[in-house]
Amino acid sequence: MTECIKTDEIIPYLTGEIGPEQKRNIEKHLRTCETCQKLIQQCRHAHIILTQYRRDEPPTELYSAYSDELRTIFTTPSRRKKIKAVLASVTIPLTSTKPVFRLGRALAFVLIGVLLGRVLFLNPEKEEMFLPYDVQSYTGITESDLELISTFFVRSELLLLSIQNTSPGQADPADLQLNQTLANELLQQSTQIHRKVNYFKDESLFIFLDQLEVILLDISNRDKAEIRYTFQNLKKLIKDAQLVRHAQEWQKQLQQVSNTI
Amino acid sequence: MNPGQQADLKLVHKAKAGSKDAFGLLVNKYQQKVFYLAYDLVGDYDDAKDIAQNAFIRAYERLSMFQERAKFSTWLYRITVNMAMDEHRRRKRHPHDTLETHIRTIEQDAAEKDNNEPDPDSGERQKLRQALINKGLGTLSKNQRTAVVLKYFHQKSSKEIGDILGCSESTARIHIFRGLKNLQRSFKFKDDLL
Repeated sequence: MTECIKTDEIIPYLTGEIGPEQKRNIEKHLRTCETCQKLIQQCRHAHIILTQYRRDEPPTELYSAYSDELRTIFTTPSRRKKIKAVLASVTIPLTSTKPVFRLGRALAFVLIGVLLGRVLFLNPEKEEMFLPYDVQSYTGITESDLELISTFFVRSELLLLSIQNTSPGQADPADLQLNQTLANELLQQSTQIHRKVNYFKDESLFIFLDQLEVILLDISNRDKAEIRYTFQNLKKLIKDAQLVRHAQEWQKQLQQVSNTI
Repeated sequence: MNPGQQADLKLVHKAKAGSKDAFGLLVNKYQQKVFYLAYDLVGDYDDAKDIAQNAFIRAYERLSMFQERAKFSTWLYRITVNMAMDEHRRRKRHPHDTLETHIRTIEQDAAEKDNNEPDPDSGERQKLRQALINKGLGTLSKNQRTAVVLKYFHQKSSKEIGDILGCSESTARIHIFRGLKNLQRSFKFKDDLL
């Protein structure tokens, strides 16, 4: 090799990236060319130092953190891991020491305490009350309405009991007269009561009032030959429909509604 | 194309189709190399961690732009080099003297010791040597440093270095030669420590 070494041939020569023949030619040339020897010497020492270079190990914790973070970023979590992650996030408010979560826990405890106190100590009798209606359903009903309806049920119960206790064929004309008067009065109130009890929106109440009205009509018409039922039949109707019991229960419920209002 | 490259390409295709796990396998394969490359280019493990992580994230985001003309590893190395250079530029604007301080501390420690010849294989001497090499690398241009690091610390061929730097094989060799020449100049008065 007579030509001088090109700059881009120096590194392959030093690192052994050239064939044996080319290497021999370069070495032959170097023996005679001082310029090329200097060129090689300009970098040979650095080449040797770098060839022997061993970098120190990275801090174990740092490399582990790097590796773990990459795994988290580039791995699709399995369903189990997803569930675990969700559970972990749910328990954060319970275990975190951050002030926001502490305050939240304190408020939750106070709220639970208040609710427990209300359930255990305030108006325990209310728990036993039977309230058939949502309070909203009787919004608008007044105390006087309730009294009117309540009185109607009381008088209806009296009339029904009177009929129930009359023996067939032995009715006292004075009692019959009283019953007829009472039935007439109740009939006159009946339409008004029907309107008032609309607040309750209860089908069984309407059925009760309808059955009561049939009896009232029959009793009030006894001297007009417009009777559909005999006393015996009336008694059976009252018994089968349990009208007395209904009248009594409605009185109780009206009392409860009155207390609530 | 060797079997390793074929396996990489298969994973790249899967990742392009939306498989994050496939890309995760590529990350697993190259995470150490990318981490060390970042360290060799910036000389700090904390920065290297951030650079390497960001390089993988950027590679994942831009995977659709990978044309598959070069090897996946070459493309990934190129991204890492660019990110390390961004960091290098940022440091030049806001220099911190970690390396300088480090070298000074080691030199002072050595001076404080008795005049006894330090053990050539001692840990301190090894640290000093590494610090001096890092300092010398820091004086090189971007292309020279990258070319030297890829050649000597990552055993890349001149052809691959050219692909990573976006230049010809011959230019890559010249970058390495000039890098070595400049390094040797910076070692001139430290020969006894090297």
